[in-house]
Amino acid sequence: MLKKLFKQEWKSFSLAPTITMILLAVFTVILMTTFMTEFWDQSPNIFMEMFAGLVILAYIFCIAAVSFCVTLCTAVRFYKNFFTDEGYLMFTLPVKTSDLLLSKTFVAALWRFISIICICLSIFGIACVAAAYLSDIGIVQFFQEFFDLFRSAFDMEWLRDSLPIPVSLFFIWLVLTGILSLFFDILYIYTCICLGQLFKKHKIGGAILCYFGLRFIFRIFRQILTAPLSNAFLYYDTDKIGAGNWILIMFTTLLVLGGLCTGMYYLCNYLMSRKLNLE
Amino acid sequence: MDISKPIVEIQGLTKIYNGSKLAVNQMNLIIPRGRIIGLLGPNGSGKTTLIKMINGLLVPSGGKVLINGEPPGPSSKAVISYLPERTYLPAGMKVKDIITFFAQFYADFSIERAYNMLQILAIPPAAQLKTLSKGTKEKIQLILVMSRQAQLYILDEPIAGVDPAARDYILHTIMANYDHQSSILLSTHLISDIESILDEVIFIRYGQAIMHAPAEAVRRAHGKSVDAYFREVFAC
Repeated sequence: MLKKLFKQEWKSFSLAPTITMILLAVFTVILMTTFMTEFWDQSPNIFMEMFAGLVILAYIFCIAAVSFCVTLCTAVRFYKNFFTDEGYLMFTLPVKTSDLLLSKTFVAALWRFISIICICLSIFGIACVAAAYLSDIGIVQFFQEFFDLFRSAFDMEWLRDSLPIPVSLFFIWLVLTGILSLFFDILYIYTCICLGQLFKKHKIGGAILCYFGLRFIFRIFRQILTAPLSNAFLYYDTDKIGAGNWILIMFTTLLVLGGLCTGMYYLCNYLMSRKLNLE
Repeated sequence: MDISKPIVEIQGLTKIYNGSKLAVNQMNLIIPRGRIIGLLGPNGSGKTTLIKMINGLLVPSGGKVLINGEPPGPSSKAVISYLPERTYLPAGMKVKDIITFFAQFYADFSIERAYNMLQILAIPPAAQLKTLSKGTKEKIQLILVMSRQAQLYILDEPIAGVDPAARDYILHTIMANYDHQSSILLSTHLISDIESILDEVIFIRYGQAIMHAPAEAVRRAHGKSVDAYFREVFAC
């Protein structure tokens, strides 16, 4: 059933993010073409500069739209599917509430990941073309310098000197933190919507209130938790922190993030199955 | 599944809204198999609240609902075909998409039966749901519900918002498509339209089942139709 739910959710979720991503691709191609044809340099005047500014502004807007659209779809689809009339359809399906929640979470996480990749690819594409046509370095040299930079980031010696822990462990930690952050953002939205349903009236207002309220609480919590860590980085060399403390810090970050994700998942599942009151 | 046991058992069921409004009050009820039962009561008597609790859409404040001996969950939802009193179809879908959706999730759903009914009602399968009228959407929901071979059909006000000609079609659809081993729980206050098909009636007032009896027994005992008796009992 989870597979069927995932398939259905994927189909329903895709439309709006796909449109914004196509729009981003179109603007990326327009910008790349204008750089390649040296369109802006052909007859430079104030109107041309304004036009160039507008195109770049539209491109930046597109990047924001891709990111915003996925977040908006995540929130709207969750609320609409479960807490409006559509809830009568979803909650009478012969599936577990946890499956409904998991399918929604995984599809939203996947779309968020795809949107990040699309934005990165778009910026990278424009940077390549801009480097090749607007600067003196040229595309070949650009790629060379880019790959040198990329290689140096993975350079074992450089990292080994900076980090008191194995480099591979550091990268695993980075990837895991990224994945958990992706799920955290989605489950945070779901938790706020579910908590909003506990309000007698103004349930959407309640969800927004929970969103800012919980954010404030999490910020204080994070401040308390990261204060010793910040002090360590500010007043000591990273070398002096020691491998044991590095691992402890990394482990704590993952544990807290993973714990919060798990907690929010179970809270949503509890509220959706034990406190469900469709009006 | 033990077919000697009733399909639904309700014990001391209570629902209080917002901590003060009592909608269902210590209700005890048994819904047997193979019967068409009218759930009758005036507006606000607790019919829809009771139905929602049977379907797991509302969490009871007290008591319990058992379907085939189990509380509402995936297994009960697999055997109950529920028609709510509102339109729940996602606007972005086409008629054929929602049929495929039901076929994917309900093992007892018959695509053939659904398309047959669509054809009779001249509803194009390729139509977008958002372009259809409220009445047509209600008909599609009825088609979806009656295309299943469920053990229990729960129909909440299926004839409330439709014209008399459509009412006849709806009642015909219900009668023609249900399996006689199954039960139908039909909630309405338009009793005269459905009285002829009812095997049993349940009268509900102030969240309590005040009477549960065979329709024929009510007619014989009171010398009048169920509709006339209902008007007498619930006279304002």
